[in-house]
Amino acid sequence: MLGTILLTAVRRMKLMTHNMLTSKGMKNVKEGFPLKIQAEEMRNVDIDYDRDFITRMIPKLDWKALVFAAQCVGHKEDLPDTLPEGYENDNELLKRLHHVLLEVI
Amino acid sequence: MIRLKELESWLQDLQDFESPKVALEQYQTPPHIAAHIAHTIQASFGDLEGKLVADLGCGCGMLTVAAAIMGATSVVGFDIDSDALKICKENLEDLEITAAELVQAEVRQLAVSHSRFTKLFDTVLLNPPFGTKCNQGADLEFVQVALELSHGPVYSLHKTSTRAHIIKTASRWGVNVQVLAKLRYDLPNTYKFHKKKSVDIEVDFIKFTVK
Repeated sequence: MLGTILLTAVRRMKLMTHNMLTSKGMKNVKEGFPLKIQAEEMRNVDIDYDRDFITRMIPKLDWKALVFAAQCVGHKEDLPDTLPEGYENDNELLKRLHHVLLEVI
Repeated sequence: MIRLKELESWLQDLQDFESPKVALEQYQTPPHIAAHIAHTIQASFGDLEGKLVADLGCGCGMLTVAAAIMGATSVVGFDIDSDALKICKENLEDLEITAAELVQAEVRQLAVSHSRFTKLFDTVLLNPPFGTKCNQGADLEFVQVALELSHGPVYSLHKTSTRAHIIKTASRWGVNVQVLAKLRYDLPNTYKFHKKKSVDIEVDFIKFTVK
């Protein structure tokens, strides 16, 4: 039941966590994902780039939802519509993903 | 790696609960304990630096901040209480912690209703409600959720007096228990029903791993 579940982003949220906040699988909820973003003011922070970390996270992402979210915060051009094969060797893409997932808040 | 003393001195600056709630068993994890825990998790096991970490029942963020300072790439703090999260948010801002985020949620619901969190995190740490008063067994309920969310280890604190029960329950779950340290936890006289000024209780710092 939706009423028993409280799940709210407090403070600014990064797109990686946003991507995980799905209500898929919740009973009686049809369209719970992705959550729409109302970005008031985004800001950037610096997080050390860790190629292994990003590569590990990619399979856990809902790519379509990520592209949608990135669009909401003005970063659509950083991501291809579909995740290309061989992404683990595309350092440029991995760096852009690092930025979109962890540094935009 | 940051020194233990330095970590502890950062943590001492955190704001505590304004009016702790008995039903949620809210009390701040003492800075020296949080520092010891986070430092050990990194120094002995390498389970924070570069990791995706969750803190269940984060309260004012003592362990969330400690994990971030120890180099976690991303820490997500979960708590049900918006008052605690408000203070937590201020703590993160005051210390300019940029690797942490907060989600308001009932911890016990996380594994059942939000399947994408399942096995998402590299490491989960928590200082759960000890399950005293009307809340018996709450600590192990939290650990059970933590084990669902982590594909790696879970680090938690439990009353030493319940050690036998914890080992027995974990073994039934097929989970390894490693008692890493026995700590003295100074519970301040936060609540009216506490008669003494403060009570020292013995607490086990435990690492759980799925066999």
